[in-house]
Amino acid sequence: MTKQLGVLCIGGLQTHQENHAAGFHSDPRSRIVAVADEIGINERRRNLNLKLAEQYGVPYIDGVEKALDLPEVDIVSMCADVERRHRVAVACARAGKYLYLDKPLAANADSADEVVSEIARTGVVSQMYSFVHTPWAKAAKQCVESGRLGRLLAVHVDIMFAKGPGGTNGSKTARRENPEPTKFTFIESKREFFDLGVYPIGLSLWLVDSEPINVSAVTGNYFFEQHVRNDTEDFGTALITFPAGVVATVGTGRIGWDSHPAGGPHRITVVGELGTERFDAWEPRVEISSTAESPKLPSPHPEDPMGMWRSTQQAAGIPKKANFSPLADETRWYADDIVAFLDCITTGTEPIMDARRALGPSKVISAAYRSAATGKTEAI
Amino acid sequence: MPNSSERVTYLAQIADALVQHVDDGRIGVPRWLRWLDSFEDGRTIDECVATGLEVCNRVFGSKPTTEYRGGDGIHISVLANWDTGASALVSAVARNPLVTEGPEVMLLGSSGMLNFIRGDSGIYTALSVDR
Repeated sequence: MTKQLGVLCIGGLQTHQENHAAGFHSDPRSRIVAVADEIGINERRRNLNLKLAEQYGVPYIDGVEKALDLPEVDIVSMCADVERRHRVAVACARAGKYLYLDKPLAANADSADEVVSEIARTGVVSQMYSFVHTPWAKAAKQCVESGRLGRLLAVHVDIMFAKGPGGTNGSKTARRENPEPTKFTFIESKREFFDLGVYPIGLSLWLVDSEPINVSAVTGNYFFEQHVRNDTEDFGTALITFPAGVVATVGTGRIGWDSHPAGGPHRITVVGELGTERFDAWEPRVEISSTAESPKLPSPHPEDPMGMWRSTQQAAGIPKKANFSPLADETRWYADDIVAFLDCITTGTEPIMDARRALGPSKVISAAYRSAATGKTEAI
Repeated sequence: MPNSSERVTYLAQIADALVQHVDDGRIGVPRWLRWLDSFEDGRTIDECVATGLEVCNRVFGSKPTTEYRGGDGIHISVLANWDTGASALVSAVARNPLVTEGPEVMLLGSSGMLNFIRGDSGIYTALSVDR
């Protein structure tokens, strides 16, 4: 067997690192060797990082540069808070490590561009987590590439997460958006157009496979009072235009646990001159109606009322919904993405969602926030 | 293929159903609507989009304040925005033999979601409903 690749995790519990670390831990080609973060982070974040290190029985290191100097580190799985993510990513790229990056790349397009430039300069292999390795997204891509629908006219992508106790904001008030958001990290909420919108926007750009021109967008506070309190949108929708009249539309956000029989709408509609096809994460499926008691959303975990993280979902006892049972469920999505990343490293191939391609969604998201703030179509 | 008057009846049935469920409080305050439709001979793409927007107007209770448009003569998508903050994506594509008669509808409310499931024989079944 070839040498196992050593993984340095930056960021700990109550970040996507919970999923990244589990994926690397379960693949025999890699092993977690340390957890680290920047010096001077707040005590809560440091304690959560320490807990991840304890979970995997590895040391915790204060200071990213110090951790990057460890000879056993080959890969960095990077989940630093959004506000400082680009700075840490640049340091990791400079150290010449393979980079598995949380999504989106950075807080805005300019910061993401800095990350991509450093990665290009150093030539390291990079991948941002996305949905391109899910079975339903791969089927949509195969449909587009097969040409069976003729010339591509549009893709419509809806990715929504049915998590959190929805229905707590019943107001009919328009959201006033900030054209350049700077604060993303809260316990009770996050910017969902930013954090979840990267999925449908990334898929749209990948499927259309040309440079987007303009975006028009609306963000909203439709479901949760926590998002209102933190001035973070819980929903966003956008229309993206491409050359030759091709269009992508997206609907994305956190819609509440009770608003979908599974994890939330995850679907792609591909429209071509010769027809339309739909690809849905929950199809094909078995639907079950019975006297068995339906799962109920328990009381929210005080550290994670929206049910964002694996550890707090388990601690709160959030059950798996049972009425929709797709033949291929979502439990492999993270693991498959990490398997694909390790495949690229071991075979010397380029990841699909490398940093260069991952810059696209960041550009669209930044332009979309401007559009939502100004009420005008914005150039990307 | 249904004639234009049958189609108008069918679309009105869909709109009535959406409004009824909203009025019954099944999904809370209506906030976002996705409308995917196809058009055939006898209707223009603009008429098809206008129909979708009219249904949105009924659901949201007023006309949109902003509309953004993209696409070409075969396909159009419109992102519409209401002064209450509600929004909608309305899309229409030229119908062809591979496309089942539309529309598909997803409506998100503050406390729930509504999907219109047309089924393969949607319009023909609906037109057989004795009202």
